Amino acid sequence: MKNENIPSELFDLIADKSFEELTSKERPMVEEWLTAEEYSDYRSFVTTIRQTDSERDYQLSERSWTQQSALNLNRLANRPIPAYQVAALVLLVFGLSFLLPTSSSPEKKEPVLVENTEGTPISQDSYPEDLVFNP
Amino acid sequence: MNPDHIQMPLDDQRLMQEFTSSGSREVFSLIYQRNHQDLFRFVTWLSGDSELARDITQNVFLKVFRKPQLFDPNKSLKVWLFSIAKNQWKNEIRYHSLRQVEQSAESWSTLEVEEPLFNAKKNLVQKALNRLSFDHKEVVLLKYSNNLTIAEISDYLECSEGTVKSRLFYALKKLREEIAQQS
Repeated sequence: MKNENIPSELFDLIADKSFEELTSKERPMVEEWLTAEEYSDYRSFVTTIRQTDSERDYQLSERSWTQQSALNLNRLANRPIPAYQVAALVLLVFGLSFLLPTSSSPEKKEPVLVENTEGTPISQDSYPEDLVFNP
Repeated sequence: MNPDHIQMPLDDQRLMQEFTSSGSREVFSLIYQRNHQDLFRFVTWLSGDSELARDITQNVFLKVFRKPQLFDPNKSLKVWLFSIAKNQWKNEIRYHSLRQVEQSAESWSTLEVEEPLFNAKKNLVQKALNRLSFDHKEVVLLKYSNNLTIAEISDYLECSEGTVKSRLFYALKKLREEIAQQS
């Protein structure tokens, strides 16, 4: 018989009833898979787990979620950073300083002398009278 | 929405839908009140560290509060919460394992069983549970500490109900063997 074919009810019975409490219908089903001793032992484990649960206090106060966020940040900040991560970061920054273009440095270009800089001649074509404001 | 108006008739799925659409803190408070103890219990058993379990439980609800839209309304809220908690706990384990390698002098005692149980039998069962493989321990706790149905566990583990039953059956058998060895 494959364990996969065990009726789910068997696992519930272990938690709910002692072997002596099983009905005449349930007992043969249980005995198909377990001896009375095994059944009682399993039940004893389950009872112990539940008894332990009932004695522990699982009640948590409802924290403010902003407070919890702050706690998480503190926790993160207090975590020590492993040495290999620091070394990797230093290497990365060092490598990037070679790879990235140095756009912030001023370009070194020779100054260019601009010649023949003529102004706009004062004429009716350049400055139509209608557009010139004379106070 | 007034919490008095959304008492028992609304199940967790509906409450989540309500919270996703309205962002109401009162609705979220109800979701929290209904589920936090189950989640805290599950993580406490899983990790053996009530302080860590407290943090993980609060963080799970913080995630739910921030990103309720990630909830699939066709699935059980409890299953979703447990899955997030399990992932968080695994992250903690990874983090602590890393620290353990780097700081070999520092022991990872906080994640061992920290609370002395009240009598020998409980201690025996808890020790035996901790000796089980993670998969076996998890399935026993989901079934008998959190009272999930086989169908819910199958949903949570993303495997067939047959696999869950087989795993649970074998876990109980292993638990019995562990206890027999100890005693």
